[in-house]
Amino acid sequence: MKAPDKGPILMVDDDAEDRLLLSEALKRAGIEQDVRFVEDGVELLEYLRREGRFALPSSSPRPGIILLDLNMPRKNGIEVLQDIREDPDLKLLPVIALTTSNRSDDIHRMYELGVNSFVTKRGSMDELVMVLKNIWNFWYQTATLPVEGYQ
Amino acid sequence: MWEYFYKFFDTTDFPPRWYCGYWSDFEGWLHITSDIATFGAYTTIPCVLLYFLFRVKFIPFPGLIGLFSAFIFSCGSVHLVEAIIFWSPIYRLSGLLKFTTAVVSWVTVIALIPIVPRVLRLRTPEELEREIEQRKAAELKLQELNRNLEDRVAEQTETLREQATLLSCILDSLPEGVLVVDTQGMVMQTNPAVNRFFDSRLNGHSQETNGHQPPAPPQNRSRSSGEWGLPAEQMDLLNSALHGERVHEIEYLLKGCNGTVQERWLHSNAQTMRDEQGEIRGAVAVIQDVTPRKLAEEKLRHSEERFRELAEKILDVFWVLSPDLKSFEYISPAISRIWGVSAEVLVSEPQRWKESINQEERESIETALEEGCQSKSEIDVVYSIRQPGGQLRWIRDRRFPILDESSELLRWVGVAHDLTDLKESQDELERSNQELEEFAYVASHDLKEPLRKVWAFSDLLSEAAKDQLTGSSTQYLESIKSAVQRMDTLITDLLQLAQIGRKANKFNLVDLNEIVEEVLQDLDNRIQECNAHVRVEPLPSIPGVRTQLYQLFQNLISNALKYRATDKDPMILIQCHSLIQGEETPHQKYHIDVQDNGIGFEEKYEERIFRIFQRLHRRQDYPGTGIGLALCRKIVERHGGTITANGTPGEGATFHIIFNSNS
Repeated sequence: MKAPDKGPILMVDDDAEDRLLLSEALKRAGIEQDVRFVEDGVELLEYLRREGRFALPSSSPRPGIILLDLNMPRKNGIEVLQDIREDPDLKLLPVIALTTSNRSDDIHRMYELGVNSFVTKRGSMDELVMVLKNIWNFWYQTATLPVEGYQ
Repeated sequence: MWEYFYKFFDTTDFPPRWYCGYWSDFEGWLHITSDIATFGAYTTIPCVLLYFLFRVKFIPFPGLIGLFSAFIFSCGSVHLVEAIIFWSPIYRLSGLLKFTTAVVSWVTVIALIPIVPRVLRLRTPEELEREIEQRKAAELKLQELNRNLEDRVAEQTETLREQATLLSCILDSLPEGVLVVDTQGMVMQTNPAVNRFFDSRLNGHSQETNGHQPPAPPQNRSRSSGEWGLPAEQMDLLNSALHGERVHEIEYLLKGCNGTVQERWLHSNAQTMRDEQGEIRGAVAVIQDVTPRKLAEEKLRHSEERFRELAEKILDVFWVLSPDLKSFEYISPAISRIWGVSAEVLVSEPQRWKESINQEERESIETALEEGCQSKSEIDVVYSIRQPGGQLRWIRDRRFPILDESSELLRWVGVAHDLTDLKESQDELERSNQELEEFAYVASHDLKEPLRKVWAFSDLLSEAAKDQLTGSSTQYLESIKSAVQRMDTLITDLLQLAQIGRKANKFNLVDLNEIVEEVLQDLDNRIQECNAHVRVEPLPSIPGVRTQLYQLFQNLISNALKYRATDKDPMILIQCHSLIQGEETPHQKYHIDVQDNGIGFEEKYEERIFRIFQRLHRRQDYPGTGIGLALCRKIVERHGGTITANGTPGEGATFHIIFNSNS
């Protein structure tokens, strides 16, 4: 499955195992969309702002959606979402929290800051696959994404 | 002259009267018989008169009668001599007799003249009779007057006696002692009360002077006030009254004697007694036993002292306020430590305490005070104040209305307690609790992370190595997954437990009927499966956290289903008794029972079942983490209630939850 006119899925997760599981799950879900990984909030901003190792536009295409973990070193999900929503160039980007947290504090805070949805990860691979399928189906097949002069 | 007496009886110088002139016999004897008769009469009259004089007393003028007798007798003797002269001319004797008669006559005349006016006053018999009548009448009148007088005297005597009786009755019954002394200081009158006051002392006194044998006066009257054993203070008072000094009062302590008799406090005043002329006649002392009053005063002083000690030593502020709470009647000195304002300042400027309260809280505190004033009920508020130095203090201010019998507000008494330390440690505790919960949450979240991965990779492994795995290896992998799942449930439950106290959970009024209905719907499948009968009696609404109350009943009901007896259909009864009957009040208590007929448990496990991770049964028999009832207890306690259980093996278990509706 691929939606070529939409940007890549940008996944933010500090945990290598999680990244491995996510890749596996994406594969099993049959999602062939371009998927990029960054490891924490700081890297996410560098990617979005094309700084550091993401300076080349080819290394940092504008993502269709961002799947954001919350617990991360350096800059966690909440902080980085705040930065994104305050940045006039980035504020319209769809951000989906994909995390193991189901803490109501976190959920409230994230929605307050304008997260587009909040999804809690389940333990089993099957569940993860289903979650990713659903996300892809909605955001890449169903929803219309904002188009901006970012490219 | 000598010749005259010498020839006294010589008849020779004169002829007898018969021979002097020519007397016929008739003429001669006329004279002679008449003279003798006259003499006879004139002798008889004085005899009769003298007889009267001797026999009858109170004859007026007895001397004069004597004189008359003498005068008549001498006249008579003259007549006799005249008759004798007819034969024997004893003229010389006759002359002397006549002279004697003349003298006696003149004496009589002289005696008679001064008597004339008195004789004139002599009354006639009629007069006398009248006078006697008058006298009798007067006498009668006198007697009557006398009788009247006697009556009146008797009457007055009676009155006097009555008055005396009344006086002594009054004196006897007076609780005050009365002591009357004369100008010499002798005790004239006393009453029993006085005797009571001083008797013990008197007895003591006589004991002291035993051996000297003081004269025991037969009556109080005769004792001097000194002998009476009056104390010096009382004597001085009486003396100054006897000297006419102005009335005054004293109070003194009458010491008991030999330590055997109780001390007595006496109060006395004394007054000068004067007669109509203003002369001092004595003095009256009235003596009152004021021991009970003194003792009461002493007690009062003691209790006052104790109150002050209490109020002034204790670090809390004690105060007494007017019914409208607008002014202070008393403030304990702790105020200056807590408020930084002295009690004197607050008494004169009562609004100052309010000004110390933080601006935001002031209005609500004022409202609370007003409400308390109106409902006359206890006020209990907590607020923070700023001392003049800017330091923040937390105060718990409790005020209690003091009402009289007709529920009128008399005043308020209150205690203001400095909560700052408590508040700080409470805040600290809350913070550390919060941190602990945070920690528990994060920890359990982080614990779940690796589990989730173990789970996921086990999944991947079992798929990837499906063909290479032997039967036992597959079994091992399954065991890993099952352990991971259990661990996951455990952590989830722990997470729930840690979340119960979280502040984010706001209290709302929750209808327990709805909650139980929801639980029953969610458990419907299991209820159907085990053919359970659930009866729910009407339940109250209580303030609480909806999700937690759901968890509570969900746990209890699923427990009842889980621990059902194998030989009978499960029966579950949920009912509520209001512990305070009648109208719903803010302090209503509810007792909710959840009763089943399951396997029950032994009495000794009543406490254990509520402890975390405690299980009574093997996991194979009854799966679970051992957190469910600990969770129930935590939820109930979070709602200000209690939960207990009792059970009988094989008969069932009952869980008792008590909720305060105002929690």
